[in-house]
Amino acid sequence: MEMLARWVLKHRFLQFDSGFADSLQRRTARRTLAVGSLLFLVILGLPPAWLIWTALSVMDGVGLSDGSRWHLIFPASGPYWLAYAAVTLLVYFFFAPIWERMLYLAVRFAIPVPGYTFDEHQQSVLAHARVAAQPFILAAMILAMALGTGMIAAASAGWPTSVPLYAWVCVTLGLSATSAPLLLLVWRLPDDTLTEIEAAT
Amino acid sequence: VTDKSVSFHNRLKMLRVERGLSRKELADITDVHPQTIGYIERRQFNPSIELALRLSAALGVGLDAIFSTEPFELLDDAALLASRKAS
Repeated sequence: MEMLARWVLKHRFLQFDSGFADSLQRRTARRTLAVGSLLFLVILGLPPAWLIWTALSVMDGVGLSDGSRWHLIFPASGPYWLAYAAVTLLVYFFFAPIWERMLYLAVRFAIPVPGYTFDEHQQSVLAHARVAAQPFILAAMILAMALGTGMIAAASAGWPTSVPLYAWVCVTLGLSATSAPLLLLVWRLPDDTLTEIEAAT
Repeated sequence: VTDKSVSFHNRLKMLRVERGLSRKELADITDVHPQTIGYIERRQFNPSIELALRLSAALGVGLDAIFSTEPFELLDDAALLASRKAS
C-alpha cells in the first residue's frame, strides 16, 4: 500500500512534467492553491495563537502560584493539549510535503530544476518575488517577537502551557515566511497555457 | 513579476507568427523558457542584448526590426500590398 502511494505521488501526482503539474499552471488553479495555502497556514497557526492569547489575557494578574482559574477555563487540559498536538502534527506532516511540492509545481516557471532551462527572465522573476516577500518575512518575525515578548511580560499562570503552543506558532510563522515568495509567485504569474505556448499564433 | 521599467516596443509576435513558429519552437531555438517569449511579446520583460541577438538570428532580421524605443507604425492595407508586390 505504501509502495503504491509513493508510486502515485512520484509518477502521477507530484511529478514535474505530469498532467497535474500542467493543470496547476492555470491562473484559476494557482489562485485556488494560494487561497488554500493561506487557509492551511491559518488553520495551523490561529488556534494556538488564540489559545495563547486567551491564556494570557484571562490569567493576566492572577500570578504564577494560582492555577485554579486556568483549569476552570480548560478542564482536563492535559488530554486536550495532547489530542490537539497530535491532530495538528498529523495534519502538518501529512499535508506539508504535498502542499510545498504543489507550490513548486504551480510556479515551476520560476524554479531552477536541473535539466530544465532557467533563463535570465526566470531568474529575474524569482529575484523580484524574493524582494517583494521581504515585508511579509519581516512581519512574521515581528509578530513572533511580539507574541514571545508578550508571553514573558504577562508572566501569568497560563504561560507555561502556552510555551509549546508558542513554538507551534513560530513553526507556522516560519513556514509562512519561507513560503511567502512562492505564494506571491503563485498569485501573480501570468496565465500562459500550453495551448498558447504550442500554437503558432 | 512585471518589470515596471519596460519601455521597448517590439514586433516579436508578428515576426514569429509570420514564420509559423510557436512560442515553444522559438524558445527552443533561442534556449529560453517558452513563457519568457510570452513575457517579451507582452512587453513585460526586456531581454538582454545577448537574448535579443539570439532572437534576431532566429527570426533572420535585424535588431531594429524587432525592437524599438518608439512605437512601430501600423501597416495599412496599401502598405501591405506594396510590401507584398516588392517582395
